[in-house]
Amino acid sequence: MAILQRASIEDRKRLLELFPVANLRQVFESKKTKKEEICYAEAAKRDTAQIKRVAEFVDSHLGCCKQHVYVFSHDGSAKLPDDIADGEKVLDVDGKHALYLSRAKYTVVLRDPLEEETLEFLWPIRVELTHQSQHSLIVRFVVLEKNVSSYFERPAYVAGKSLTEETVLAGIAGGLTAADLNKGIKKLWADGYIESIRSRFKKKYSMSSETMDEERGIKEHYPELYAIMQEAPLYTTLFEVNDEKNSVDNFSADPSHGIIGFTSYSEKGDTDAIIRKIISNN
Amino acid sequence: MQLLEKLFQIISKVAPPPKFSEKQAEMLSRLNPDKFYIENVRSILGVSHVAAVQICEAAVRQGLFERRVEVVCPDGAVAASADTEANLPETVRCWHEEEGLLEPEELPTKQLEKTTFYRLNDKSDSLPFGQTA
Repeated sequence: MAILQRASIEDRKRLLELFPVANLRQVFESKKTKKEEICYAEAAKRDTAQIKRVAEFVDSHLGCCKQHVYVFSHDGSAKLPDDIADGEKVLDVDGKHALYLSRAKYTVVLRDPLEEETLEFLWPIRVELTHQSQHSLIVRFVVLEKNVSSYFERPAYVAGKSLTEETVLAGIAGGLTAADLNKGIKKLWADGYIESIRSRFKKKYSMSSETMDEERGIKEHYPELYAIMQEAPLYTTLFEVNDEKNSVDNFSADPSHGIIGFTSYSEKGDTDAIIRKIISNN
Repeated sequence: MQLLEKLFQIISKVAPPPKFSEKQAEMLSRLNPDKFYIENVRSILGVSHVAAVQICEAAVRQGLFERRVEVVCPDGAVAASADTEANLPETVRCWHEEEGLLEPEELPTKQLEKTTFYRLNDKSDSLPFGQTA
């Protein structure tokens, strides 16, 4: 956990700010009301017990964050990596999953007046190994804040990043094949657990796309098209989650490339359940 | 064929009564009575765009069609619809693709394109032909 211990208070504060305020309040039992104040107060403590607490919080609440998830197939021999690009392993839970933190530097251009600044993030990445119907290696990236203006209180734009998901993936899953998630996703669609409102999919001689008016469901309104799509490879597709118990409203996926994206917070960490359902039905 | 009959009545008012071919009747029957555009009507009748507008607007005046408006996201997706532009939501959720995944963004309706469409007025059956609603 040296990366966490060595990090500046601002770095740890930005790390905690990636999580929903309700989770922060609950775990750190803070009496402060503003998210920024809670994060600063917790980031300012750097004793070993607090650093461990922060690492465990990040690991157990990663499912609450906005995420990009990449699923790879392997023959059962894949192991959790010992390290990661520009970072290190922070937690290892029984060799089944591990939490890593990478240091990502954003080059930011500020306006009024024109200036260049650097913004650093501790980037949480979790790697999981599953051995359900197939062997899978799952890499989950927390999506870092895109609107950097909030860190500077003036117009700001990201001009460059020191680290990309692609670079990190090359180190973790280089040589592995992206999992095809069509089967798992289509099973959830057929069961009514999810419904698609827009999709790109492959027809016999063309790449086709369907974008429903006012987010209507394809299966409900175009059953004939749904039948075609059940037999076609799906690419970038948006799904609504119909499970009332799940706090995730929607997610996007590129099933043919093994990618899932969660674009909003989920206080209960319900992204875990969706990933698990897709993998177990795949 | 409800739509066909109503449209026939309207056209009779603004132009010489047309003779519908079987193909046109079939095309008309495939039209969604809850949502159709001027181009749908124009292509079925084989008239000019201006004539199709006149026909649709005459149908609105007679209470047979309802005119509605929809707001269109930058990628062409219809985000919301209402009876008038003023009744559209102030902002709508649109989606854009980033690195193979879809990201939402909330955009102000006034900055987005609007499209007019029509739908069959369910209540128009009770109106005597020729009466203005």
